[in-house]
Amino acid sequence: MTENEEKTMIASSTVENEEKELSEEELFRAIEAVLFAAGYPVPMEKLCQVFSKDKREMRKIAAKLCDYFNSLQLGIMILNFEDSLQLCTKEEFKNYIREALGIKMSGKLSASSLEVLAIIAYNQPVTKAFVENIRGVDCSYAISSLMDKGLVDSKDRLDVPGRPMLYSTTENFLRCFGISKLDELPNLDIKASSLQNSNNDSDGEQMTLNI
Amino acid sequence: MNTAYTSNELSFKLENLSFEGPLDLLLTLIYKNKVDIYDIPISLILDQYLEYIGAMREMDMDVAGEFITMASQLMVIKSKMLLPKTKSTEDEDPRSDLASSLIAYENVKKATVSLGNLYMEYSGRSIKETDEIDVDNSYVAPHDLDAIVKAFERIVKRQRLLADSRNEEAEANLNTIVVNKITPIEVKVVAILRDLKSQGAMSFEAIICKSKTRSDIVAIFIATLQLIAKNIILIKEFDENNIPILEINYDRERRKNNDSFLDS
Repeated sequence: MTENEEKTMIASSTVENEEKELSEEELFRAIEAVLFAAGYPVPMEKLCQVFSKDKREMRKIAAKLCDYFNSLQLGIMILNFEDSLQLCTKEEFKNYIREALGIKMSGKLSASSLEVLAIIAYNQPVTKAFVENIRGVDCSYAISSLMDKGLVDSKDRLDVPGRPMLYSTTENFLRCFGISKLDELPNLDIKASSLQNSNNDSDGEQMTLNI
Repeated sequence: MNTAYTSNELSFKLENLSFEGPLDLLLTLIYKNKVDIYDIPISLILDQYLEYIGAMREMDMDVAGEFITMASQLMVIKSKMLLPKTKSTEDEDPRSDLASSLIAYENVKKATVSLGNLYMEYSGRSIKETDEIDVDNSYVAPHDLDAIVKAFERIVKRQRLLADSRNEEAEANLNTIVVNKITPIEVKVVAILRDLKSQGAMSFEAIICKSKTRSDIVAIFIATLQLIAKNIILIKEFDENNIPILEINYDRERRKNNDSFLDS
């Protein structure tokens, strides 16, 4: 049994089109439907499983789908996060949405939130201590605020005494900052410091602003 | 020592700026004084820094602990700078850690500006909540209609048996709990008079025998007493067991025709 066949056997739902090979058009439509219903970024793995494709194939399909869909110039677009796909509205319609739904949409993040976010984004994964070391002030509030907004997440812990949480950015972060992957973070004109290493970290991490 | 600001100028700055922390303040001082971050004039910067904290206090602002910590760190650096350089400390610049921290923070501030702009531009991208799709729990195994009917009949039968046994049980239980119905005296009054009318004289025993419950007996007894007290019935005589024999007082009946007791 090939890996694909195994995957489809394991799939819990009965996908009726399992046996029938979908045309590219039908495949596109089906994926669009799934993305709409999900709302959240649907992992590439899940799409592979549902549509019986391997990762390489799915990546190609995803790229093609995004090109096609986004070229239609609709009010919505598909975001390609490399490991997942997500449908979202285009930013230019923010005000209409805000008025129609009667909701307040965050236009700004506070300076402290942005600073903490920048440190996390460019150095992830990092601990709270690391962030506080760079900023020179307490960051608990900023970090929890960012987590509430879904921009930052804690998926792991550092393997040292105390096992502090490691923070990294989420796919929501990518969406809200208009990038598909962390490589696309803006290049900064970084000043090199003469002593970048050793002295300033409390848990043995390098204090750099990598891009 | 040349302080770049007067107290007033600093207060003005305070009103217009709020610093994220001591590093933020230091960076601002470094920019304003146009000094080299790799060669910070510690005395100058320290003096202005302390002035700032003083001004904050004057304005009743709470000075966060981190600012005080930084002040003491600056003082340590200054005092180290003032000490004569020995062979072992020759190559160390007491300001180097501070410089590194400041540069790192400076980079963060640059990143903040870029990210802030991106956020303003793209945060309007909205997403939908996940749809709630009901799980289909409908049962689809095939069943014989007969089997279902038979099952239903069994249930009904079982229920009836249960009900019956429950009812007997229930009644038995009830009788011990619930108070018996009280027989109204008027009912017995009417009954006694009817009986006496149809049968003539009747022994009290015979009348009592008709009663089914204790309440009946009590009612008959009181009814009899009332009837005797009103002279509607009479004790004709006593029989061999000393039980009174009752009969209607015909004399009285003749005299009073509209007696409601006799209306039936």
